[in-house]
Amino acid sequence: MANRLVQQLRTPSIGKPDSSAATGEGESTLEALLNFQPYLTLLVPATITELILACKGWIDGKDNVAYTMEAQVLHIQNVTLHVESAPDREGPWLDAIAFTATTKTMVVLSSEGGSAKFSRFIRWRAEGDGANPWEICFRLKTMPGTTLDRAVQKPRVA
Amino acid sequence: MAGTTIELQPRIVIKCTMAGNTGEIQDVDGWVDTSRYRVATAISEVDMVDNCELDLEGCDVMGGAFMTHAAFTQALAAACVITLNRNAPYGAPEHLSNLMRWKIVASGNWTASFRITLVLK
Repeated sequence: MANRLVQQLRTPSIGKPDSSAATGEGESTLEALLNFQPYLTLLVPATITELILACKGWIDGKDNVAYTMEAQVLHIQNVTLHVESAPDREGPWLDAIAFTATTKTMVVLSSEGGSAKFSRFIRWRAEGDGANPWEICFRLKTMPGTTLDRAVQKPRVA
Repeated sequence: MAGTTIELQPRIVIKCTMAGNTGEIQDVDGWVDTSRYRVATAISEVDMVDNCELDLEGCDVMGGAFMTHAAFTQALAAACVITLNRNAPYGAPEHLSNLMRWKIVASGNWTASFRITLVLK
């Protein structure tokens, strides 16, 4: 049987979510960086002004106070990519961070302050400029907690 | 075609206009462990490689040097099928390594669209 190197990192897809990984349950190490959105390329006509990640792919971070997100936007044209968070599936969805240019960056979405606000659910939304065809190629990785949390070894309680 | 079939990479499209980007390497969680197999048939369907090179690579140990099994610099009208064998001399392109991945080497704006399937025996 062919083995992926790290079985617990199987990628959740929009149509087939990995609920345990998406909720941040189980292992919470640096290796648990979750491929929240694998590389996705969208070439969209102007008549479609908005695309939102299907709800099956949203992260439910009810047990976490922060998420570290690695965003890689390789190509973006006439569109804004929003990473949004909401306390409930029904909203209100607020921007945690938005991208309008190519970038590779790491941000911490936190419910304890900072500019990138995290409440409970996380999703992405691509919003075209309404006048032109738009294109984007990006991927998003997430990890429950912050890199600082993971860097500090916590003693186990027997 | 008998054997274990796994997609090293389901069909993917990557378009990059990021300044300074020199390519991409497949995420480590997507690499395939082929250490239990003697023969691998790699089937590459390359729909587009614009301003970049798509490499199929193998390595025997994590952190070791990767060797290139196949390199694609243009789209293919038909799938490219190559056979890798454990018994081939180490360092030869047809030597089956323990790990397999893909890599894109690029400069400037680039686009790649491809799918790679492995049949392992």
